[in-house]
Amino acid sequence: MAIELRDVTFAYPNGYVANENLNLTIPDGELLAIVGQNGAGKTTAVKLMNGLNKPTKGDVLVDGVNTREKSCAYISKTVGYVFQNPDDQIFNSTALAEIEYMPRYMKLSEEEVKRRSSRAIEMTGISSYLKMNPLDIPYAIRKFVAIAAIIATEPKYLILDEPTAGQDKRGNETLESIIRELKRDGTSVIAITHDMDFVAKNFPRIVAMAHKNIIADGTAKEIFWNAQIVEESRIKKPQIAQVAERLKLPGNILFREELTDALR
Amino acid sequence: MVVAELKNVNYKYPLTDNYALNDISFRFEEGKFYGLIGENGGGKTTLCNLIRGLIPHFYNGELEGSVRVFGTDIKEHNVEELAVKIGYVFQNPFNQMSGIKNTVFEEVAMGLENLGVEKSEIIQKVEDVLRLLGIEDLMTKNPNELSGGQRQRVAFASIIVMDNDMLVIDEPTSQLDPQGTENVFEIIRTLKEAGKTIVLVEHKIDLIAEYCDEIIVMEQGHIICSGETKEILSRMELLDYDAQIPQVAIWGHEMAAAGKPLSKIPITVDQAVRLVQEREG
Amino acid sequence: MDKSFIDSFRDYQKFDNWFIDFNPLSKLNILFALGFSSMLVNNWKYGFSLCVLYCIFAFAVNRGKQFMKPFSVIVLIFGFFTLVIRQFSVTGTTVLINLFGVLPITKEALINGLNTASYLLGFSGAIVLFFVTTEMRDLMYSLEKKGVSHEVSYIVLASFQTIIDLKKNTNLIMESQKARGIETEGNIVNRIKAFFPILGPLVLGAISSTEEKSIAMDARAFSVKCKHTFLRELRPAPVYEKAIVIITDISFVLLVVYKIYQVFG
Repeated sequence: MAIELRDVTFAYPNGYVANENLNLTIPDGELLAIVGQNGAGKTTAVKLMNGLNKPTKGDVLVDGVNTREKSCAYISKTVGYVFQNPDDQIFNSTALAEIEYMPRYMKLSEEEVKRRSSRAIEMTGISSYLKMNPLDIPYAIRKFVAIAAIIATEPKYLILDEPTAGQDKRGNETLESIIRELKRDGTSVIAITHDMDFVAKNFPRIVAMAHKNIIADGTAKEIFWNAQIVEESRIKKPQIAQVAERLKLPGNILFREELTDALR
Repeated sequence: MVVAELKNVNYKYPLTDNYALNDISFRFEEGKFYGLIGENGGGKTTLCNLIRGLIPHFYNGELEGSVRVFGTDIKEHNVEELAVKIGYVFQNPFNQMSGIKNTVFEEVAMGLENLGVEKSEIIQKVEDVLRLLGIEDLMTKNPNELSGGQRQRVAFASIIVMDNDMLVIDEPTSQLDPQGTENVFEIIRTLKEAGKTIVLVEHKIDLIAEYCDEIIVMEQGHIICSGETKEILSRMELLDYDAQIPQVAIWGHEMAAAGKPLSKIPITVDQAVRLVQEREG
Repeated sequence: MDKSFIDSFRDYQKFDNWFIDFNPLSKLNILFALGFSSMLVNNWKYGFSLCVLYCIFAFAVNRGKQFMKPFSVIVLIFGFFTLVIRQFSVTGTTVLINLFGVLPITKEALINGLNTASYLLGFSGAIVLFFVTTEMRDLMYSLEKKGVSHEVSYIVLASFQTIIDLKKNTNLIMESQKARGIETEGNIVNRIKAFFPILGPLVLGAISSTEEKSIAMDARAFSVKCKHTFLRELRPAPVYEKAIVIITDISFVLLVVYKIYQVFG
């Protein structure tokens, strides 16, 4: 089972082409980061994966189902998507109601609603905010409310758009633990982010995008140590890799322990 | 010279039980560049609002202690004028455009029009600021059709053009990509070179390490510690307060623990490279 | 640096022809006088001549296309409906033709309808002509010069951008709700169910962005109390422009006096 993009081109109704000939397969249970500068086509690419955008050419298959044949709302049961700005999503008067909204909308049993929402709440660490009006919850925490609301729908694939933007150290750590737990439960996480330390640490597979296309698909070491890819996708290499590069150390170093070991 | 001085300040927002600022004492000196870091909800933005006079003029609540800005008690300031003297740039680039001007040139000029500056002087100042920030090429563009990164640079220009004595910048890059972030930090570097007093709230700790003179670390309304950048950002304890320190600084400590100490703890890539080369002789 | 662009602000703004160059308030004055005159005269010959004049004038000042598009729609809708309604509401005796053999079209009703249509069109044509020859920001500039507060001016001008922003936001929120599994299309039940998830974030977003915007504008001296200057300035009205306005106004006053005399005298 997988999300498959086969030769996909996407153009807006006004004719502007945002993605050209994308080919990508994301097996379930995989952790994947999508990197590249704004305007490279990252967001349109993930919108193809949940049927928000339907391909202009080519096919997108989600577990074998062609996204052209189903509505986005239908595909969302398999592919969850958390937008960058939580305020585009949240509308209930308490955080708890927001999280329970979709399970109820899906007409699940009360027991199941409770099970799903408590799992999502625990994962995102927002139990002390449940009774609050989302407006009174700080922005960075609101992002976790939005994530919890989607986790409660228990999708097989979860797309996170810029989850690290505006997060502090604790927020980043919470995100890391969410990703780990989802992975353990067999959920695939696909994240768009500019935080390369976060990418290197948490994602075994990275797709780099530039000018509407995928220019590289590989491990963190392969991506960050390929000067051409770094240049073309305009990403910022993690600090440790920068130090290793400047010192001309061998071994495609990315992490602190590796750098320590490489020096006498 | 001291531009802002806080003595034993406590502050509670209306209808809340906890102090958003708790026993804060600090002196902001002219021409220095302060990095304000620490956990979300730790009081960083509240501190900015206090210096700018939004507290107590817009947000009521309980304010105790003494706050003097430019030598005058904050309560005595005319808040409209203070808002101009202390420039302010924040996170969301979209909400910083007026929405009523057709070109970037006019957008940047708006603040000066509001201050009643002579037209020839407006034109001169706008030209100068566009050149200073290197955004002359955006001059004839519609500000409402720019990318987030471009808008953020226009937002900076629109503030700087009023020749503020001090700038408060609250997470200016959290919605930008690395290129946009770099452009914004280029601007901040220019401002620093122009001798402006700057208070910057930012999570990107490697950039804080590179640019700031002094660091203030906040947690739960307290200032945990403050001081010179290289001294503060090399402290491992910051991690216990949910504040970030640069990866190279953590690595510096790990080198020491592994019995291969560098002569100092690096906080930037440059320093790390230099210290390794120095150590290897 | 785009030198000529910057220098364009040093002088008064230049437009592509003499009428557009008129002060917005002059244009407003002249066109409203014409519009009201068609109401007062209330005669289809006068009203329709005025409409033809508007069209010719719009083309003469290079705004033909912009004018014809809304105006032709107004002509079709207002003109047609007035004629039809008058056929039913006015009882006439002179039957011109019998439509489909059963619906009599009477001369009295037709003329009555034409008169009404012509004054509606004579008035709305003036308004359309004003807006295709005047930019909103120029109108607000002139009003500010006459003492309207810059807050009012800002609210009017910003509302256009606000509408564009709201539309963009609605799309984004709709996508966000679809992406979480809420059906927004299809049957009426789905659409009603999707109403709050879309309206809620839209309203809250508008409130919070208004708050942020007002802070941003205050940082740009919006609330500082002092006399404003204008980077973009319009020329003061020259003598001939003033003369045209005064002649129009005198003619209009004479028309009013004549009408009053007709009614009471």
